[in-house]
Amino acid sequence: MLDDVDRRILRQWQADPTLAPADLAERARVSVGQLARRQAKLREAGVVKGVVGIIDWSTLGYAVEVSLRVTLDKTQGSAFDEFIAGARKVPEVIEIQTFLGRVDVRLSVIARDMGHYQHLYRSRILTLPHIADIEALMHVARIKSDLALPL
Amino acid sequence: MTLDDTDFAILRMLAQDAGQGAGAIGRACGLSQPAAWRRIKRLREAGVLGGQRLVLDAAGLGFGVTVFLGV
Repeated sequence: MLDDVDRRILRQWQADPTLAPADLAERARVSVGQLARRQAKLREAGVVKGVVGIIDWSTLGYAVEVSLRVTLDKTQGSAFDEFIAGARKVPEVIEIQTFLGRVDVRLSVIARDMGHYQHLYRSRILTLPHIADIEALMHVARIKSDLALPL
Repeated sequence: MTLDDTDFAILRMLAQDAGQGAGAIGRACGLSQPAAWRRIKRLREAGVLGGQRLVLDAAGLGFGVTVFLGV
């Protein structure tokens, strides 16, 4: 189980994964050696799965982001699996979430502009299997996107 | 900013594991270590590589439920 030292390290580490070990150790109030041992243990235990790079799509000309809430035709037992398998193949779908509730799946789709989005929507999204209903929410602003856990 | 296939390959690698050095990335993409380093630096300075994120096992840490609230 995690103790207070682990939590301190995780809090500081996730706040800035690019910190040099010496700086991270200082912020978490541990020695550099202790930090390295704790980090290795956290990785081994699977608490820390890795450090990944974040790609800012908007710098690559993807100006439009749309959240699509999809309700599936669940009379087909395989609807979820087939829909998700199809959605995975669309490169512009950058996020797939499944839900319990009125909405079954939410997709985040990025596009260069509205024309590009319309093309994607017709040729790649509406052609996905087992869609019963679909609702599009156009992103205007991302006010908070905190990927850190409240440890 | 226009990117070529090598830039995209580098982005794909770093999006999976940001801890990889320019040497390892260069080897995978057929670049020398300095050439890979220059491309990574360019991607970082252009803001395409926006930072890094620590991936934690949320369920393992006791956060087993995520709720989407649409208001």
